[in-house]
Amino acid sequence: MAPHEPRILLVDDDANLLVFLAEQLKSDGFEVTTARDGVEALKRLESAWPDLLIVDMMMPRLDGLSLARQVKARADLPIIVLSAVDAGDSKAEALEEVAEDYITKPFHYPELRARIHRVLRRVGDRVPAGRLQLDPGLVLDLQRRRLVLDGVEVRLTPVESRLLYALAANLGQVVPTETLLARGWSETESPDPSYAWVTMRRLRRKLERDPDHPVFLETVRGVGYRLNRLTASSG
Amino acid sequence: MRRLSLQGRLLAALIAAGIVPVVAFAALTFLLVGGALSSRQADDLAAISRLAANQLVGAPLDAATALRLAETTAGDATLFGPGGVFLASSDPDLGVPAPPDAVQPGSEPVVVTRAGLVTAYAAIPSGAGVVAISQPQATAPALAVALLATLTVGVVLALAFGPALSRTLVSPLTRMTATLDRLQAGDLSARLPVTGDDEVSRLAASHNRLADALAARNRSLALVSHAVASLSPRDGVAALVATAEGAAAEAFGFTSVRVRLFGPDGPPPGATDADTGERVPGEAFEVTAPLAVGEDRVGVLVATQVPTREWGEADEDLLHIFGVQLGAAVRNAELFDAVEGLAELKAEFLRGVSHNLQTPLTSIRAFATQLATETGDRRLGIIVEQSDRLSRLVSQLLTVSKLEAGTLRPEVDVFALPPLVQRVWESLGRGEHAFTLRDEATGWLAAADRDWVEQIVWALLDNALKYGGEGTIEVTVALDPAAPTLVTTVRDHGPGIAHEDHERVFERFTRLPAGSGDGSGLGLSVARGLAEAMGGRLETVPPGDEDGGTVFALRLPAERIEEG
Repeated sequence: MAPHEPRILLVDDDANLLVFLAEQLKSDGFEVTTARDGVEALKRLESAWPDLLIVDMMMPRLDGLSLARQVKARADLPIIVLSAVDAGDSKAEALEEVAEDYITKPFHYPELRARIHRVLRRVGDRVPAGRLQLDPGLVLDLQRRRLVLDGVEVRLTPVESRLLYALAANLGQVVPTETLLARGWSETESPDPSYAWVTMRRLRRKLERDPDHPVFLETVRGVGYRLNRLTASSG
Repeated sequence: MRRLSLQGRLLAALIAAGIVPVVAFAALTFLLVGGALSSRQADDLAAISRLAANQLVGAPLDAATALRLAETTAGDATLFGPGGVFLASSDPDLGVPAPPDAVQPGSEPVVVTRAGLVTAYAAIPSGAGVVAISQPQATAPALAVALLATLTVGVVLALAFGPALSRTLVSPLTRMTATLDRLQAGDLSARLPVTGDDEVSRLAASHNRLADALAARNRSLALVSHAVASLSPRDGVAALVATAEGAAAEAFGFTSVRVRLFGPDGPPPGATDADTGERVPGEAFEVTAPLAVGEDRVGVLVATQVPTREWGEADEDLLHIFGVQLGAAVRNAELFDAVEGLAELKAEFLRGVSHNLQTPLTSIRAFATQLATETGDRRLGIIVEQSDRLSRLVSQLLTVSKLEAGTLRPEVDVFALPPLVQRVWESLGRGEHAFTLRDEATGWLAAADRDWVEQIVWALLDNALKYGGEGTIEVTVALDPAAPTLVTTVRDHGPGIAHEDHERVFERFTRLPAGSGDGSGLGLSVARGLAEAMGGRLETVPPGDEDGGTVFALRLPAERIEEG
């Protein structure tokens, strides 16, 4: 993680919310700059590059989605989108492609804070932003929350992709179950280890060719899980 | 009576044509030759009888003389005395009648033919009597035999060669019939051999041209049908028109095809369904077809046809059909575009409404929460509570519209149900109300969209609080191992729901009893929609005991807890 306080650029056309969020975030130890719309945000980005961009989806002049696209085209800056749109909307998919996460209005501040932490941590994991090839037939495309197994595209749920992020960041090493719980269910009170067990079983149905004899997603009993990359030579 | 086959009739005609002239010829010959023969015999006999009469002058008129005469004349001789008195005959049985009165000395002999006997009477110049020389009438038996033989040969020949000949004549017709049958059965490759330049060949050639034209139209029709089938309204109007132009060019052999669409206002003033223009032989010509839907003119297809191509009424009809189909497809595509546009417009509108309502609510809620912690004023709690309620209503309306459009997709996660129910109960802030939660499904997690389940449970508990009276609200989470499914039942002890209303409670904007309560009437309807959208179910079930009340059962897919 960067040695300084995490810097956040907050963009929203609702001045009240902007002020409120900025205060809350500052009191939680973030360094915050604000912008009222997309054009202003691009201007801010000229002078200072933050660690995270939080942007409202609907704004005059330049909307959140277009802004996020422009930013991503320049550099891999993590983005959280605030929107009144939820996962069922047709725009949600487009949003997933450019944003690390999004949060539906109205939200509770603690939830936003949890997501900010999670996104920053994920960036710290230094997972390749693009695709991760585990064997000739299996590609993880976590940014777009999907994997492709032998040519078939399989969608991943948010929790599944978070767990795979954590595992991929430690490819070939055991990740303790507690770590996975913290990554996967950060905004859930008291997640139970059983969540990780069952989710891993469900994940194996998606990415293993034979879920009963997993090769990619291995259990290290009593400790945690390990994600393996199979090179062409080893099988 | 059945008519004879063509071949039979031809055969009969041939035989008739062969025999009738032969018979007629024979009969005529017979008559002519017969006549000539008998007149000659009469002349001969007359001459003989005159000679005999001259010789008999002074000779005795007795039987010996008669016999002698018979020998020299190769006939029979009969002698009569004056007055026709019979004297003697070489053959008395002949019964030659007495000479007619005209036979007098010095007159010409008289020839009488009677009962196959030709008799010439001549008077003896001395007046001693009359001599009669008789011969059987001359016939032509050889001629009759010859004629009969000819007739027989004619009939035999006709019978022998007639069928073959008539077959030769009929067989092209038979072949033609067979070919036409094949054609009718759908074999458009059936063609007739054309040899020579007779009537049959010309008929065959004309049939082949007909078959060619049929096959060509059939090909056109197949191409047109294929083209029409490939027109999908989803591709949009422009793609549709491009496809149609290519298809028409291929199907009809046009050198150029343009489809002009009229737009929403119909055809421009003055535009007609211009008929195919004057056709100058040897020059390319223009054909048009209206693109019509019922009475509406959607556009017009204008094409140029090469001069060598035949263009008949059937082609015109086919093009017309194509135009009608294309018109319908274009209209469908336009409507499809319009509907898609409206759907996107609706989604955009809802996004706008949602954004513009939720953004201020977020601020209101945030500041009220902040103030509440700073001042402890309980009225601020009410502001938070009511803003939550308002924002829930907005999101319910959005959910309804998305459930309708079928665009909702669950984000399935695994979680334990009882803690979730407990949390939702606490969030309702009705701690004073009696509430029990029983977990009968330890070892199992729900696999569902957590946010949606929270909404459903919230709606069920809210409903129980509003309509369930003062009694305890009982929630049980149990396992139905068959599916496996987790069944969450929420029971109140209120008046219950009348049997006929068990399904009505899930209808939108239904409040039972009618007009009661302060709910939106959307909660249960949305809850059921969400449950079904993530593979679960929500229904009412009978209470199962005498206490009454209402029981809702939420079924959700379950996962067993196992480390591995």
